[in-house]
Amino acid sequence: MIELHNVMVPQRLADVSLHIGRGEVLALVGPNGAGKSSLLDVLAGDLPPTRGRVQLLGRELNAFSRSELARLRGVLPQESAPVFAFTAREICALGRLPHVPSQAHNAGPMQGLIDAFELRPLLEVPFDRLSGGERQRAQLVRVLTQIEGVNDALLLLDEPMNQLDLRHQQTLIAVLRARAALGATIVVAVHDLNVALVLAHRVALLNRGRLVSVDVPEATLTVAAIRDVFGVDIAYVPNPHGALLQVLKGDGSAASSANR
Amino acid sequence: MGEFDDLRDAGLSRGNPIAVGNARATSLLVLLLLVCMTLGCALGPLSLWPPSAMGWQVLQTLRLPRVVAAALGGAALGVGGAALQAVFRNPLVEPGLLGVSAGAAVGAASVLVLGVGSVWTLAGGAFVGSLAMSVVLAMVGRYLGGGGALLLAGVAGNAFALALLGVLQALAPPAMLKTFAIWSLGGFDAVSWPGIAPLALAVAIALISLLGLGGRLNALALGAREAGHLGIDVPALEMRVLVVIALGVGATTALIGMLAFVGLIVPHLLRLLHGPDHRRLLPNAALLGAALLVLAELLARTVLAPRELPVGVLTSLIGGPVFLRLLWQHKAWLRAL
Repeated sequence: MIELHNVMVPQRLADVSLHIGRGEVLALVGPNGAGKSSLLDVLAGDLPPTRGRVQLLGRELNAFSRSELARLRGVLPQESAPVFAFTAREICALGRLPHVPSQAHNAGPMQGLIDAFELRPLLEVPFDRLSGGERQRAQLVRVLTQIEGVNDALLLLDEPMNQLDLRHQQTLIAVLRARAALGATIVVAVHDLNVALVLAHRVALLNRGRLVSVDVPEATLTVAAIRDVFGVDIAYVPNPHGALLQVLKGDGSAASSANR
Repeated sequence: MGEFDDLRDAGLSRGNPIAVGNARATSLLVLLLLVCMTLGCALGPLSLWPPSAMGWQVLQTLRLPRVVAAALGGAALGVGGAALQAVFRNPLVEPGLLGVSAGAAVGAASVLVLGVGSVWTLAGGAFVGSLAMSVVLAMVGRYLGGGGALLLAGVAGNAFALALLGVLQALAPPAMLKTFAIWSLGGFDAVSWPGIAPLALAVAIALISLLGLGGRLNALALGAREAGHLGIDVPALEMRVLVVIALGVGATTALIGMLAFVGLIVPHLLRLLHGPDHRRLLPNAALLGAALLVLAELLARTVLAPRELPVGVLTSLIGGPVFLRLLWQHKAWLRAL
């Protein structure tokens, strides 16, 4: 679906090669400043690499026009602050802007997303009066609506769990897995390694602009790799649905629980 | 709730289903404009009733040109203010405050002082002057942000342009000073039918160019990057909007002077009326701007009759306090700058 060959961006990414397949959910993890957001920018076409190539569907990414890209990939930025008092409904519906009006009948699935993220009672509320988590839900619906009904869709999400409460995190995980099952390719930057563990098919571990490893979650997020990259000790704690990570204090005892 | 509701309310469907509220607001504004224009034509020291040759003469050569110029200029400033706020993603900007009008006055004054002034060259000079100011502001907006930095750059740009205008005025022969007074304070003394032609053309071009951009300007409200992700070529959109704003504001300033606050008040009133959707906001801003300036023209020549209050003085007298009110309303946004 999307391939990076020896991508280089000065000060940010060094020699990153990565192949992301159709229908795959890939989580990008790494310490602050590791290059997660930069890698998403490169994938979005916002940050052209100084060396290396990015190919989408077998074509050079920079050969796509803005509107072509807008019809097949959605991007959720980490922070965004709309101006003017647009309502949540208007923000969500902007996701259909790239599509010609005759495809407006695709609005049906948007209703499903609005219900899934429990936005219906908030639709007429101006965006600036929503809470942080409610805004995030509206932006997610906008971005998911943009790729609704699109074959070979690409979804690039920077910290989509930001400000979401536990239940809506679960909703998002379910929605993303369902979209991937329908063929959408999803790249998610997350700081919570347990989210990466339950959400992603593969995890890419970044450190100082380099790709340390990319593999199935358990193979990437090993105790040794996390000690190397994050400088903390963790242990896997078994639970009924599979093991989850827990951060250990310096003395090896369980510290703050990262268990979700 | 039908499937189309969500799309329609963001103004994204171009087909038949236009919200009822939209049509109602627009018809109300058309009605308001017609009432204001009728009053502007009817009221004055000379009664038009019963009909007389004298009355007809006054209507045709004095009142109607002023009313038409006010309507066109108000439309340019109203839609220009709404569009400027949209491209800079800043609800507190307008052509007067940012010095776009002052740039236009400098452009027109340069043409006049060079001795090549005609209705078309003055409008052309004003276009160049206001476009130059817009481009500087666009640079500031791109590299320093469209919030506080832009407002401050507008203050500085406005002061600089007014200083240039002062220099040109000092160079101008005394016979031209009346024109400089019109540019500084606003006024309809120079309005004639031939003088209206460039303004009418500029407003027509501005409206035609801007009215199709509502959906894209809605997306721009999300942020420049987000709009890019929705397929919008943001620099091209900004440039296109700034050029047509300069066209309308330039021609308006060349004919009736720098009028502050019209472009600020109009979009705010409309957002209160029907929300921020630019597909409604832009056409309605032209209508409301036209109606308000026709009313201002009428007030300017009647409140102190037989003297005339410069119309720019009137718009600033009303607009200054309203601006302070808007600052209060946007206090959270301003604190976050």
